[in-house]
Amino acid sequence: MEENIITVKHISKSFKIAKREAGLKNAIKSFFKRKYQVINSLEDINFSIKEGEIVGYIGPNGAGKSTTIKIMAGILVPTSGECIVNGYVPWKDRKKYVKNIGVVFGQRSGLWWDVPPIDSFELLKDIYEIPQAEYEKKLSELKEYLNLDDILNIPTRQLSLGQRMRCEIASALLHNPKVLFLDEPTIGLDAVSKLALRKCIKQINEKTKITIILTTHDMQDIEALTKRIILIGKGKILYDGSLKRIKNKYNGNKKINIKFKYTNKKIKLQNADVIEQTEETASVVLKNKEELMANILNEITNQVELVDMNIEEMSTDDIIAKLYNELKI
Amino acid sequence: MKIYFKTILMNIKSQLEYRKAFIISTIGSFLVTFFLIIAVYFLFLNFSQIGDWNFYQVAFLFGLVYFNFSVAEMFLRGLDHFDDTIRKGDFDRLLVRPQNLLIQATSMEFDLSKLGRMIQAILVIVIALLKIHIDWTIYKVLVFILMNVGCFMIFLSVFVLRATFCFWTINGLEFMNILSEGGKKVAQYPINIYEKWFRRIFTYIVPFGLVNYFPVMFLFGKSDNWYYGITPLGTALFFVICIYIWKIGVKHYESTGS
Repeated sequence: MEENIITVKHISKSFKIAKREAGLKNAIKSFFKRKYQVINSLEDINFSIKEGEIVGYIGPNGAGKSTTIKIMAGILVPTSGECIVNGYVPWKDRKKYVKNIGVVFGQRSGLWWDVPPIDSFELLKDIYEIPQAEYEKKLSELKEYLNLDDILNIPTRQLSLGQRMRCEIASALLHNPKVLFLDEPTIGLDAVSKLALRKCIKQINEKTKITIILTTHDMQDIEALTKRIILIGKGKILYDGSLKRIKNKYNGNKKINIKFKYTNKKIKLQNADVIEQTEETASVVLKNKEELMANILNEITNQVELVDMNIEEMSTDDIIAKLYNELKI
Repeated sequence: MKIYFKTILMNIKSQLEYRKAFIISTIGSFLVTFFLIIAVYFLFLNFSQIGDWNFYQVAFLFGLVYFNFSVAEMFLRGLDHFDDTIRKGDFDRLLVRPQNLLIQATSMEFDLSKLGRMIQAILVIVIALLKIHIDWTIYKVLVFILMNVGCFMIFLSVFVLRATFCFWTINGLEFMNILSEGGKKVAQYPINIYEKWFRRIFTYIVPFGLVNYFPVMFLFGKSDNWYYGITPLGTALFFVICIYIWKIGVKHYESTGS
């Protein structure tokens, strides 16, 4: 029987943020008397994850993704709630807990910049107190899964982003953790590197049965890697389930891309969602499959001077954008 | 501690990647200290004495302070630049590694170029000791070592305190420089030349007096109180307090994440 390796119950996190108005006078004033504003970053977050699962944790910027990851990684202590990962409360007994997790922050490097990755790995071996034999075994395994053979001896600063990211992931796995947190691993990568990286992550999950939690803005990452997504917006979980279910719901839904003469006016439609609008273009998706295209086009032409248009199937990105729109996040 | 030295070794490797920059900054740090001691010398050309301390005695203190300060700057560079670690979010990375946070933070950087300043300071100490008459005993040698350890401990503590400040704000670090830079300048002269209130701050709050006044009095034979020699041990208390404050800082970081 598969067991829950991560359980998150009623986690909330609020921050006190110092408010400061512009101007020197206010700056001095706030130095002596600070006004605080309480921001609820997370509200009553609940989910559990089974051993060996890959879960995509998605949501717009500022939704609380990073905060959740930081809590699960033991970096932040929540305001209230429970969290058990691998039998530990992450923010207690830090040193023991972190030996069983790996964390990769896509935007920051965990490797030493001026030396080759292999040197960083050697140091991590000591930091995590990995026995030599285990280290060698794991390293050769990771070399195979992540295609590291030719890049381990080149100074990190000379590696391409894709090569570096593969090394970053290897560095987070050397100590054989049970859970891997990947915070936007594909950010900034070109298409080829993204494909290669996804393949590597998939392979690692299949071969080592490691549990992976992945945050990303790239829906193709999600499609390629995960069966389950957790969608978070404004600090609350809005959806937890398969990506397929959401996709089925909108399957066959059409997206209309329109071009019109310059206007600042916001288009408002009754039977469709505007998921994107600039001053000359907009993307519109039908609220449901049964809507009459004619009605919607009618509505559009009443509001703007239509120049050009095309109709296409909704992509996953469109679906998520529509979802964000519907949920008003 | 093993991790600390291994990480430092890694940093040295990194620095040697940029050989020219290293040589230039080493020479630079050598020259800076050289001009500072020349300035003290010119001061004495006019005064010949400060209180009842002559040039070589003051030079000895200068050497002591600068030697330990350069050791601190070299080995504790990570703490010195801790604001960068916080700003870049690198502290999160330290939190997910199973090692002591303070040691990890300290080993983030290493500044080999301070070697120039260190050599200079050693030269000053050696010259001063040759010119000052001291009746050396084993105990006095121990006192001399203890003074250095104590002096380093103070800089270590002050660096920890200054780094801890970054958990609350990374702006306004200048204020904390009063302790490190200011303390260094103050400690360069025997503290009995200062006003009483000032002396008290640097004896009871930042205990430079424990390393540069009492033990030096004993070392130079200005006092026969043997226990003046062990006053540097008092700096350990200061260190323990600073570590405690650091831990409060870490707790604060874990609840705010900024």
